Amino acid sequence: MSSINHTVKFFLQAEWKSKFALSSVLVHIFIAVLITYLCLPGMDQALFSAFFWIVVIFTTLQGISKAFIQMHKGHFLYWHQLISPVDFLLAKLIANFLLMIVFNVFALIVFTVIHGNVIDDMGSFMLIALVTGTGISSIFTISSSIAAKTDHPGMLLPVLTFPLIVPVLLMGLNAGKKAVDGLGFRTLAPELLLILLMDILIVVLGIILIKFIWKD
Amino acid sequence: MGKIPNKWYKIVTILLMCYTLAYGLLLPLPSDVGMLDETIRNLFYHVPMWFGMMIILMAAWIYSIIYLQNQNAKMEIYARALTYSGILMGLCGLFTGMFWGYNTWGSPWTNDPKLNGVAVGMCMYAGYWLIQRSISDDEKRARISSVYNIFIFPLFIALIFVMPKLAKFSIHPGSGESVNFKSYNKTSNMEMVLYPAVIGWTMLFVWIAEIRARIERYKQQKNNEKLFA
Repeated sequence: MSSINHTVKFFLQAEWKSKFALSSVLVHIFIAVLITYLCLPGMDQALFSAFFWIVVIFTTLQGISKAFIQMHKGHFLYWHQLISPVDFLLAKLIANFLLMIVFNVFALIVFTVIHGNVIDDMGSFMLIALVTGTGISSIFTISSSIAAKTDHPGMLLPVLTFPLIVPVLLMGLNAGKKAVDGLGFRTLAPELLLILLMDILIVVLGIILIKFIWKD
Repeated sequence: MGKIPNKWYKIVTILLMCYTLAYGLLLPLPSDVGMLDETIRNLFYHVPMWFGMMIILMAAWIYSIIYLQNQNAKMEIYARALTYSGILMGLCGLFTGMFWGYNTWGSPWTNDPKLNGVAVGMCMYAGYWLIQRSISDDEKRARISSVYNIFIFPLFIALIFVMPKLAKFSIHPGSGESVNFKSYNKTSNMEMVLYPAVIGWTMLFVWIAEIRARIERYKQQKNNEKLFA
C-alpha cells in the first residue's frame, strides 16, 4: 500500500516538475473551448453535455496517456525491479484519476466562463464528470499501456482508445444531459450506478491483464 | 478447434446452408407481418449473423484467455482466426442489415442504438487487426493482441447489449417498444428456419476460421523449417 502511495506521489511530483505537459493540456482545453465558442456562440443546454465531453476526450488523451507512450524499454525494466506491475498500474490509475479531475474541473470552469452557465444542476454534473472521468482515464491508461507495446504507439493510440471509451462516454453523456436540464438526481442515479460498475469492470480487467502487458 | 476431423461436420454444414438458403426464401410467411412484408425473411440471413458473431467472438475470447494461461502459440492462432471470422460475420450482418434498412426505413443508416453500437464495436475489432499488423515480434504480437482481445470483449458486450436496453426508443425490430419477431410468429413456423440458420451460419464461419488457422499454422511450420534448415 505504501509503495503505491509513494509511486503516486512520485508521478504527481514529476508532473509538477515538468510543468509543460500539464500546462500544454490546459492550453489545449482552453483553445478547444474557444473554438467551440467561435463555431457556436449561442450554445444551449441541448448541446452542452455533448460539446463538453468531446472537448474533454480529445484534449486529455495525450496528457493522460503520455506516461506509457513516452516510457522507454529501459524505464519498464527499471520500474519492474522496484514495484510489482499491479502496484504500478494502480498508482498510475490513481495519478491519472487525479489529473483527470484537474482537467475536468478546468474544462468546466472554462466552459462556464466562456459559454455562460447553462447547467441547472451543477452538483450532479460534477459528480457525473468525476465518475465518467474515472472510467475514461482508466481506459486511457490501460489502452495506452497496450499501444505503447506496438511499433507505432502514436499512430495507434487514438484508434485503440476512442472506440473503447464509447460505452462509458455515452452513459456519462446521457446522465450529463439530465443534469444540465436539471431533471433531479433521482433520474440519473441508475446511470451513475452503471458507470460506476463499468469503472470497476475496467479497473479489474486492467489489474488482471497488466502483468501480461508488462512482460518483455 | 484444430483440424475438424469429422467429414460429417462439413456435410451437415452444407445441408444446413442449403436448407436455410432455399427454404428461407420458400417458407410461407405468417399472414400479418404488416409493413415488414417479405423483408421479414432477412431474419434468416441477418439475425443469425449476429448470433453467430457473438458465439464466435466469445470462443475467440476464451481461446485468448487460454493462450495467456499456457502460452501455447496454437491457441493464439485459433483466437486470431476466430476473431477475424467473427469480424467478417459482423460485417456481413451489418451489410445485410443496411440493405434491409434501405428497403424498409428508406435509409441504410439510422440513429439507432443497435446500429451505432455495432459500428463502434467493429472499430474496436479493427483495432485488434491493427495491433496484429503493427507488432513485428511474434510472441509479443500474440500476447498483446490476446490482452487487447480479452479487454475489448466485455466492453463490446456492454455496448451492444446494455446500451440498447438503456435507450428509450429504437426503431430496430425486437428492441424497445418496436415490433419484434415473436409478435408475428404466432404459428412459430419461422423458428423452423431460424434455429437451423443460426447453427448453419455459425458452423460455416467456424469452418472458415478453421481453414484460416490451418493455413497460418502451415506457414509457421514452413518458417520454422526455413529457420532451422
